[in-house]
Amino acid sequence: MNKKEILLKALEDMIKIRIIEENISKEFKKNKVLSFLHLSIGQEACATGVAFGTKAQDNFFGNHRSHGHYLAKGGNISRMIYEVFGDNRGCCSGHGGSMHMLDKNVNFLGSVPILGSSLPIASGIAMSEKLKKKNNLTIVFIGDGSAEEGSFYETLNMAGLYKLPLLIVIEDNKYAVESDKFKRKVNGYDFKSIIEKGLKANYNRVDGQDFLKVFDASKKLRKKILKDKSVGVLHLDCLRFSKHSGAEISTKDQKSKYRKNEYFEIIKKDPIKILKQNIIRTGMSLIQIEKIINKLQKKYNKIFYTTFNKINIKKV
Amino acid sequence: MKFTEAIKLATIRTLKEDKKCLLFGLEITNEGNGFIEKFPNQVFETPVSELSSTGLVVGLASRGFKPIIVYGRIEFALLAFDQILTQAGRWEYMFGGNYSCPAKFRIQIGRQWGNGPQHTANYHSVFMQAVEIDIFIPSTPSEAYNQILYMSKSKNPSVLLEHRYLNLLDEDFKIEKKIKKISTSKVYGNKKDNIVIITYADTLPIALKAKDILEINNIFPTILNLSFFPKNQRISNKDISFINKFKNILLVDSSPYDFGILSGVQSILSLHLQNKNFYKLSSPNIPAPSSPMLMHKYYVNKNNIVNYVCKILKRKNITLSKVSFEESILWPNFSINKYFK
Repeated sequence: MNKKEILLKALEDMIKIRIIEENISKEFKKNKVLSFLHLSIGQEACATGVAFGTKAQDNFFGNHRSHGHYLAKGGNISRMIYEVFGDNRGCCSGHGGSMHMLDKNVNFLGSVPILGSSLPIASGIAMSEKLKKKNNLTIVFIGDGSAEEGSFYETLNMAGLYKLPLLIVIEDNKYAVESDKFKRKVNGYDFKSIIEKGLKANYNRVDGQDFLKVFDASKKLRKKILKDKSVGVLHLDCLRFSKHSGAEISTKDQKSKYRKNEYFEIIKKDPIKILKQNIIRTGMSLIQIEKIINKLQKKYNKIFYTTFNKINIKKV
Repeated sequence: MKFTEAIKLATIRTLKEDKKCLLFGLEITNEGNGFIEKFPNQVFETPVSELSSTGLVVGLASRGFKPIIVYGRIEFALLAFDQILTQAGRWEYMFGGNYSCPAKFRIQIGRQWGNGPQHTANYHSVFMQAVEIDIFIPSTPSEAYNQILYMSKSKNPSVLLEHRYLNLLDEDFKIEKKIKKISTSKVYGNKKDNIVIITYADTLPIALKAKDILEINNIFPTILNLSFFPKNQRISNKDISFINKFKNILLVDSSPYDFGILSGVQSILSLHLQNKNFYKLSSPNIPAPSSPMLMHKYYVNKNNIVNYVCKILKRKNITLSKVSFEESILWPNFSINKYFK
């Protein structure tokens, strides 16, 4: 695929994530579904960029906010929708719900919502692949909160010790639930020094709102991890458009005190908007791009409601 | 064969018979342990990172391996409870079935002289509500051997609680080529008197010694020792039916009783059985002390059992010699072969 094709395919995946999640949000509210829901709207470039920068044979392992990771990896859309709404046709037979995504057919090997749990599990998956002599990577997605767990440092040491092909992706949206990272970290906290100098792992930090930057960084880290037999950390600065949990995507939350009025940054740094600008640089006009987006929105609205209309919320 | 030797031989056999069996732990690769020399690709030293090394094992188990991880003390395994209970213990169910996680957790537990409040906890019952996990608590070398073989083949996550107190217990037993289905319990005694003593783990050798004294005095209690608590039903219908043959039920626990394993067993029995007399002997509701003299008083001993059985059955008191410090505190070092005749 040339650059333009890659960007257009990424656009489709990002629209897919956004439309499916927007519809989930709407129907959750309407149907009074009280299950946990952590939307990844705003962070689509992280999931999509990593999926494009890695290979189909690589494994993904997710966290509480993993609809985007699952969809970017090509997970079955209907089975995800069923799962989120508690239907037993879901990817975890309705046992898991929104926080447990699974599609082994595309190497999406699960997601768990306990902060820090996913890291060592993913290192075990990476070790299993190494023992089976596969030449692939296991990618685990965590938030900046999880990177404060002891298991983050333990896993970096342990996976480094065993030379495991593991890529840890930190989606740093600045907040653990509603707690600002500056309230949680020592002044001058330095990821780069700790990870590179202290734990001898590869580290790269890029703008997680920009698909191209995430894509390039993932691709380079993948190569390096497999070549050097060392662990990698990809640190993505990103923006969570939704509340920490719940169906509401609220400007009230975006403008709230704990977020220091992040609303204007969110408007400016919408990952789909940034991707559109990148596509324009390949020679396409904005009108052409908007036409494509319009078609994609219709396509994924239809896909969502085709599945959703088969669910009887009250019955399930 | 001693209890420790049985554990080691069974572990070596699982590693030998199945390359998917892996062994993890601290000091596990030390020369002289006999593992790394024989199985260099299956045995791994872990960092002192209980949570993460356990998570590693969970991840491996989810991908078709059968890893065993060893913890020197339950207090260190507590640091890994997220992975044992919340991840391995829920894995198959939360992912909708057909995604097993046969991780094996070998945890040393319980009393040892001088180890004090933070190295002797008896947290058996904590595992009992992890409803997807098989729990094994061997009391004899043959049970330890066969349970390790059995759990290594099982697709369920499994916890094996190894009592250090039993380390020197000796037993001759036949090593079978085929791995048998294992039993949930074993009966010792002839059912002559109307009392069953229910034990598990480290209380079995003490109850057996008490039984010897009682039999010399023409009192014949029966011991039912529980050793396997399957995930789907912690106490089997067969064991409940067996216990139903007795009017008097004495529960002997080296843990504090309240809400412990035998307290749970009693509550289940109460739901199934009518007109039974329940009695209990257990450690008090305080942590185990370091001091040998305090520890001497802390755990149930054979004389406590003898006296209580006489009282329950309204028999004359038996004159008993004092339980020596060594007998009460140190690891029982005797052969249990005669009890299998």
